[in-house]
Amino acid sequence: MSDKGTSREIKVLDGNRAAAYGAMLCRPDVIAAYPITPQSEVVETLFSFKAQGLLDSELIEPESEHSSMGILRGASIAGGRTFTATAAQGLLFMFENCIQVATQRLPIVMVNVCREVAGPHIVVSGHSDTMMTKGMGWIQLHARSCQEILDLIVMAYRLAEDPEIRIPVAVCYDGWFLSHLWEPVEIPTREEVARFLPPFETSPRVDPARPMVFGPWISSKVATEYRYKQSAAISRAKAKFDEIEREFQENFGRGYGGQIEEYRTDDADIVLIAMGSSASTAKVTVDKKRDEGLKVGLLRIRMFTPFPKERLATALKQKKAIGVMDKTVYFGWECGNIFLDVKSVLYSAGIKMPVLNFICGLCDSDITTEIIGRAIDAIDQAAQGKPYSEVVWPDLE
Amino acid sequence: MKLSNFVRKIRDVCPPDCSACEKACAEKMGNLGPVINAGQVHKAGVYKAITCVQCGNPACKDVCPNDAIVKDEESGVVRVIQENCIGCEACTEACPYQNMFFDSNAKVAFKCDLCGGAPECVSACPYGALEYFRGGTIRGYLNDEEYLSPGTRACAGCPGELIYRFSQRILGSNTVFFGCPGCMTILMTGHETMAGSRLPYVSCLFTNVISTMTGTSRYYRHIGKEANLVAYVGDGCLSDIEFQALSAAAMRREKLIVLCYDNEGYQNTGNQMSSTTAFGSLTTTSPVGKELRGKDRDSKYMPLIMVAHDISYVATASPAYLEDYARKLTKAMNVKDGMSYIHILTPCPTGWGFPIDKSIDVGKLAVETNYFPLWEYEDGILRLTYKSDKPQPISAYTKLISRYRHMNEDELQQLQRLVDKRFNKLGLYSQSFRQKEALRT
Repeated sequence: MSDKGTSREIKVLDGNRAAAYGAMLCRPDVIAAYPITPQSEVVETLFSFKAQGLLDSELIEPESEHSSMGILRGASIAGGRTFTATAAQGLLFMFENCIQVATQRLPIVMVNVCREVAGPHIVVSGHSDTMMTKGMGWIQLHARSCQEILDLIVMAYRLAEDPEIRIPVAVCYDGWFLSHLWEPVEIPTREEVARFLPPFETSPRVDPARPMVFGPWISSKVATEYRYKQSAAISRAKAKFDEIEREFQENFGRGYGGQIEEYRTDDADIVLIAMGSSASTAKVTVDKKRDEGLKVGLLRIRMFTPFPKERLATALKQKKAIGVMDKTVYFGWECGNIFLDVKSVLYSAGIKMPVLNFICGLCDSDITTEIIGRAIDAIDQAAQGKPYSEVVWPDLE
Repeated sequence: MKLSNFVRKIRDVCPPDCSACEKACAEKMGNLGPVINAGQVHKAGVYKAITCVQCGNPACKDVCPNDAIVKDEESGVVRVIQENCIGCEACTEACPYQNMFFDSNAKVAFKCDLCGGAPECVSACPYGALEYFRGGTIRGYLNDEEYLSPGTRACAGCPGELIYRFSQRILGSNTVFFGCPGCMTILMTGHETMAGSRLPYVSCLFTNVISTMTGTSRYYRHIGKEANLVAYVGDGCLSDIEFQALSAAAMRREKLIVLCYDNEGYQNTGNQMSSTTAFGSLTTTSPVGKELRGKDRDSKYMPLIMVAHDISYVATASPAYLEDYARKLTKAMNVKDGMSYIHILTPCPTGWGFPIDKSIDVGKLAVETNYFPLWEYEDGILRLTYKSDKPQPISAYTKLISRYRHMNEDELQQLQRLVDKRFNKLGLYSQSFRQKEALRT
């Protein structure tokens, strides 16, 4: 993008800078973000935009992520469009505020640069922060490339601010693997983003001219109804996201498939499920295995909450076996989070087949084509009716 | 609405057989008889009006069919013009305070006219129990409109409610209040479709009041909107769990008005100790037994910490000195840039243990003993706004309050030393105080 933002431009950016460009194009009224690695560059880039006069937002560096989310709450409840970025411990520190803004249906958009949560002392990539916060009532979208990070932020505002949704959205991408990966990114013009994303209009808003209580005590019945409506709105976000992405594709010429991205799954016997940056490696490995004659496909989860139940069931209906790659372990279940969710989808859809779980990529460990190749072979064995281990930790084998 | 002046009782010292006030009134009123009843004066609580309060919008005047009742705009006195009185008694019926009287012989209404500004009852009292209270000076700070609904859901005797109601009247309608779970939640938060006040209110978590306000403040600035954004939260919130966010917002000079009602503990959850709980205090987390003697350390002195942040305005205040508070809140309201912080000691009958009609007395003694000095800080200068000529020992304060009852002489002396130490430290900051001390020595 040129400084005036009047023509599309391709720049080589890392994930964090792509996120900052995405946020800037969406014209937030208030941005509050605390520098916590690996997202600090998002904050730095936004401040440099402000310094250059490219960003007309109130920009605040608070003393913590807890206050970041509090500040966005105050701005959003008064009618403003807001943005923040966080990671790992930061996300956990703002957790209680995240729940509150979700129940108050405030369409905040944030970036979470996924990172393993301590301890021991680890500042490494992982999914444990997002998985631990999956129940906080936000929509979670996961990117695979720097371009997708930018695009998802633009779409996230449309989704969050949609009158039928009004749910905050977290755009997630892997720490280091994407946050510090440099790729060519096409930056849309300000005008075309403005057309796609009109100004945020909301009512009621905090205003002395129209006094009211924001957050009164309510009876259990009303509160229950409130929860029900919140749940229904989150659920509606699935179809709405597919719809918004189709519109995005018409406007910007790029699409990713909505809630899930399917790669060579149509005629596949077996499918590997992945989320985040490892899906790129998986894509290459799937091609390699196809060359060897294996009918394998890849299914990438882009929308993690709400979970794309319906589309997964449709995509997996005719398959012989599937494998799920998880970058976390769900303590007490001895398996990964996504694995559990996928199995639950299959049960509800009446689909019975071998489902394998590969717990890898924890604490920064590389997910290589070799590991994914072994995983695909294991799924293939299970599809042929051979005995298999349900949960495998490839890094420890 | 113009000022209200009236006579009020300030000391509960009336001997049972004294009726000096009534006699003086009867003498002054002549044939019509007294408008003060000594029996009622004896029964009245401290700071209660014992005469007509000279209402701003007098009901008696409204109902009079013959314009026989007038309110003097200068003095505020409501007067009966007896030549115009037709003796219909509508006014005696209308007065909600039973302060309009009727002489059945002369067939005229009569009432207290404050003896033209020098009430005889006040000078007649041999015990100094009565005071001519000039409400006008306080009322001058207030808006006409009452925003808070009548009645209160707070504990009986809670001065936190008084401060909230009073603050709303001072701040006026271009105000948004922010609060969190705590004693005042029951007043501030509405219930389903009902609100307790006609000012907007944003309920926050215990931990995100200041950050939420900051967000609203920054958004308002972004769209060019101005309003008083006011936190009314307790000591547990600000001195403990919210302290980090408060400190950061103070440093950033966020344009917020922060009012801390300090009842020295987590009173809403049942009197647990907070950072502002005083040395020796018995609370549910600083109990008294064989091994423990109440809180074993001094309190955190929040207002001076806010001075260290060098924000635009810092003050301490007390519900026993409302005019002082009104002046300070008005100053806070007029701060152009940055944060203002007022720390208000609100004695808690429920948690501290004293009779519900003693909240103001306790508040007053807190100031008179130098336990809670009243001061303000602006432009780098700290100034005492009230100085007791002869500070009473801390025991005069603690003896009223049951949370200190277990304290022995040594412990009370230790508390006295802490009080003196804090007051002296304050003196180092206070130029005016130092000047006064210099004059004295």
